[in-house]
Amino acid sequence: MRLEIEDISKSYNKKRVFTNISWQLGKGAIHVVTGPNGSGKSTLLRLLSGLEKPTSGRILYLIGDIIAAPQDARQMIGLVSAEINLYAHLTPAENLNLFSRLRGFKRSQKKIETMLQQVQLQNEMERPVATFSSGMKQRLKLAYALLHQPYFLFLDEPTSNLDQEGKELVAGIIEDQAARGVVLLATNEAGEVQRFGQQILRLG
Amino acid sequence: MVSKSYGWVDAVLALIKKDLIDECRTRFAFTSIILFAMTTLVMVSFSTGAFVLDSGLHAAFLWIIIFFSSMTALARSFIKEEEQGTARILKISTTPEVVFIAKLMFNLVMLLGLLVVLYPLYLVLMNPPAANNNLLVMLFLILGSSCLAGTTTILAAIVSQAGAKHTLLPIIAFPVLLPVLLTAIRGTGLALVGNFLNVVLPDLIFLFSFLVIIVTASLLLFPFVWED
Repeated sequence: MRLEIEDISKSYNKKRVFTNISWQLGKGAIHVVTGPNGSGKSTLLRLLSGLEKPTSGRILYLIGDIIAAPQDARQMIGLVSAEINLYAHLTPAENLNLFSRLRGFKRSQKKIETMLQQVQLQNEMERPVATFSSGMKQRLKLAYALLHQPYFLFLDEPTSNLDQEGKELVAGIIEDQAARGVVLLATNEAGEVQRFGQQILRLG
Repeated sequence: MVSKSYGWVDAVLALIKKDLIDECRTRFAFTSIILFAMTTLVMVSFSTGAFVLDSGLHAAFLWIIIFFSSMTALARSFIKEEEQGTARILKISTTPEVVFIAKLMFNLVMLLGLLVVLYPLYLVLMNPPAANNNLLVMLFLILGSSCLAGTTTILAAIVSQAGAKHTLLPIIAFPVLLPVLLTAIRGTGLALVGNFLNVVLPDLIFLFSFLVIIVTASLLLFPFVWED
């Protein structure tokens, strides 16, 4: 299981974000992409998640003998990003139930409760997400990303808005997931780069 | 990784359920459709009360109310996803076809809800002629509304990517829907005076054909609108 980024570039209206990035991401290691604001970290994660296409180059997901483009590999990808929101008028359980059904499987109420417990939101099951703090929303996004047990987990500034306890929770999830699949963390926090950066890509 | 055990039908139902729960909690789309329709109906009723209108005028009033009421809320189906930042999470969680069919069904439910409230009130307030062929009138209203829902769903998806998204849909939708509206008005008018199926069959066939074409074309076009 690995992810191959081959010579990709991205521009918006002729404004270049980054050029000619090549990188191989394999199972077992935690990969970190870092760089100043505007260097293209979030753009790279959008490309890898299939939300956008690179201007040139290609991205390949290799799972056994299967080679897939990002758009076809979405079922295997989990994404946490400030650019995606869960439904504010639904409760956390309703959100997780909805997204599991959209991904083609059903989670039992008990399993959803366990997932919410994992991100320490078990006492907030009946509240609409609109009433959550930004840290609680961030935890719920983590539960969403792990819902389908993805092979590839992409985390864009996952500890933003989190307290120390939340940061430790994210660290545990990153380490767990690295043992099972590919983890890519986008951050510009020096502490996180130092702690998790087994393979580092610096942008900008 | 979890293997898939449920198909696209369950995904569509889940998304429709989400939109219905969201609508029940925010009461935006249905309330605005109903308020617009009721206000217009009462105004038309007061201003034409002294006159005896022919069936063509009744049909025209009915469809004008349906068209403009639906335009106020149906555009929201995709604009809401863009504004709330939930479009991206939908894109990575399911296929474009599931999103399109669910939004189409939700818009259809909204329009059918409008018809359930509007048509009986229209009969009471406007007292159209004869009205002894209600089943055929209802068939025109349902088929015409399905065409409205199909067209506005794909156009709302296109408009949601644009700048002046709130005002754009009625302007873009009008020329596309003009043949539907003209046919629906003629057919409804004929049905209101008591004509039978053999007289209005060409109009019903036209509306049905339009519905099949717009839904098929939209299903083919939507992935490009949604992904790019």
